[in-house]
Amino acid sequence: MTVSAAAAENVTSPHDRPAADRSRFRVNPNVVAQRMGGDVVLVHLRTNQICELSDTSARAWDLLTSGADKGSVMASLESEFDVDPAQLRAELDDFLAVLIERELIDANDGR
Amino acid sequence: MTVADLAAPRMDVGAGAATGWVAALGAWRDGDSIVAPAGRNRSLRLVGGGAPRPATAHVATCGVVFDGVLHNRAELDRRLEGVAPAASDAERVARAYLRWGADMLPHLRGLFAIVVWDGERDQLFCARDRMGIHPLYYAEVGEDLFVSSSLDALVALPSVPTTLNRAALADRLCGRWSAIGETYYAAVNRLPSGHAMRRTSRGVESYRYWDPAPLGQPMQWVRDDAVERFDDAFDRAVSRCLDSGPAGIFLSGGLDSVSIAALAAENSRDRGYPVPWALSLAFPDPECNEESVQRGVAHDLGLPQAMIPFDVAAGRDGLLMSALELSRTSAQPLLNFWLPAYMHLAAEGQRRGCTTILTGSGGDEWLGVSSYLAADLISAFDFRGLYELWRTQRKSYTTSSWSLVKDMAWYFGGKPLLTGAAVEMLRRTAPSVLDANKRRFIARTTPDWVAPEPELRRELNERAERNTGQPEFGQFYLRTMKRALDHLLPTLEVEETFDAGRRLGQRKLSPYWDADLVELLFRIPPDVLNRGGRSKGLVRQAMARRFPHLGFEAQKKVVAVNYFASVVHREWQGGWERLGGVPTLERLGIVDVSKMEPTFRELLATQQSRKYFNMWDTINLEVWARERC
Repeated sequence: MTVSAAAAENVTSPHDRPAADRSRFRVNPNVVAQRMGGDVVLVHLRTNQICELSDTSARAWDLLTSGADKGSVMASLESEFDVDPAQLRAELDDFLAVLIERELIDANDGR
Repeated sequence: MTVADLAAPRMDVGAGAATGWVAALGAWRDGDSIVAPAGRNRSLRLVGGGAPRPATAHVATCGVVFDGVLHNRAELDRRLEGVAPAASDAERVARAYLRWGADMLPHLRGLFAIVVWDGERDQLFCARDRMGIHPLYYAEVGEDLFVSSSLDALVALPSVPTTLNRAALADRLCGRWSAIGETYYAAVNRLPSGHAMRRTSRGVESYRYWDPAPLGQPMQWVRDDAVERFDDAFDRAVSRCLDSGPAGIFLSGGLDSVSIAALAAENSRDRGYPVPWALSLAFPDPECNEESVQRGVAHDLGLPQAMIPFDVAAGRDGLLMSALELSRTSAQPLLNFWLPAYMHLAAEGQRRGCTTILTGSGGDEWLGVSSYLAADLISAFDFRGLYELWRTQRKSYTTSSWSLVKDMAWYFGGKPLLTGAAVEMLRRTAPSVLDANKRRFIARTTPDWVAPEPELRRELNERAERNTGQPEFGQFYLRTMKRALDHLLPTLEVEETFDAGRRLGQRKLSPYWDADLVELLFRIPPDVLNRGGRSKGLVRQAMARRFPHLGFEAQKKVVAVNYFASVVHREWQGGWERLGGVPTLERLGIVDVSKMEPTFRELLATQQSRKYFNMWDTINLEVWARERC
């Protein structure tokens, strides 16, 4: 069982969660991702921007690109890291905002 | 995940994150990854968490950090006893050091950065591969010494000062290049290619351990079987690159990349490797568009091809903005203006599974013949040879015949001879006149808008006086070839290529920078390099036979100088406005904006395109420095 699937099981029903947590994301088709050890390098082929994700952000990227919604990503990271949930949520929000701003992902809104 | 991550996850997203290892010699601290103890309370250890981690080994009194690849493992294992087949390259190096000491380096073939703690002699020993493909930088901070193949990783350490080297930045704006051991950080030094260094209680001392053609010694020319030996060495160089993984080739329409593609296609099929991808850029300017040749070569070799329009590869915001963005996040200010487009091409290769990119870089340096041969021919009264050189250049380059006459007779011929002789004479008879001349020359070649601050200007002048005016007499051809080993410019180019590959998780390799091949090409006489009466004769004839309909027998070198000028001219204003000028360089005392701006406006208005590189480099240095101040 994947980590994201295991995390998703901890949630009784996806409909119990706020709508924002059910947001899913799609990798921009112009983005190439390459894993380097524990890090991930993203190259946006239209803007030529290079983003280097290390440690936790690389893990969050893996979860997002496996199709997990935001709530599942939160749950997975919360189970893997000893971290205050409020802090994690704030950082995940920031992280997603940067990814969207840089057009690395699109919000899919669960459709 | 490390404990630190668990306690404090950071959602860091951005470019330019410090990746790479740092080997530190100094006091032991909790949590360090120790390679070897180094006396009381000291150790050689790995600090920082950057990936990828190098191999390490500790054998007897010797601790080793090894980053790179060895090409001659089997040969080494035969000569070193007790090396298990599964041993790491770090262990091989440790055993080699235990057997030969610092003299192990001629026994090693490969691309590497090596750090050795020698417990018996109580000293640290470092080396960079012969052509310097793997960078190696170091910083001395008090008693501690930090060594790394990544500048970013070094300056990310809290104890390494990040003060910029203002004089090196200002030098660059004067068209002068700093000493090869300097970096753009004041506290960080570079170990040049083919060099080793020791750090003992007396300090750091470095020396060249590999010299393909020592000056003053008779040259052992290879003439009779030069072509066969070249073919073997070239095949081995390409083969070594292909061993790194599924490959893509940056395929232009020039002889360098085409010759590599031809050999790589054949070599891959013979060895059961995936057929390499041809990765090509289609330039919009007809003067440098080589699309028909690029397509023809890929078709004839049966290579799958990705042909990307240059404007797409340059990025949505244009090449100038892409280049500035890349420079901002690079370890050193960008050197290759075209790099963003090639990074894009590399990423396209990555999407197709290429983990290794082969480039034709180095072909101009090592397959071609320097025009400074003219000075040697004139001093030997070999005017027939001079005529042959002129004919070869005329048939190989688009420069006009008359310009070539001037170049051969004066710029590359008479002038260096006379200047060398005059400098030597003045040095002996009137050194004060020589010094005054030198100062006038420096003042003339330093733009009035560079280094307005008196202290920096004084430092700049002192550096220029130290680095210019050394008389060079005789062996001009060899000296020019050796400059490609000892000069900062090619070194920066090689380091930039290495970093670009590392950032994308690829290896970028250039067979023409293979040390064994370069050593051979040093020894092949110029007339053999120009066989057939055209430049790059060693590969030209073979390519003309291999692709009879593509015109390689008479192909002239394609250059993108005019296209570069058109890009800068078109995109300059937008770039300048988005950048908001060069306040960082001004604050550092490197430029005087009140004098610089009118100069640049004048250059643009009068389209003095030869000076556009200087303009571009100014904003290039600004974005790089701004990120670090």
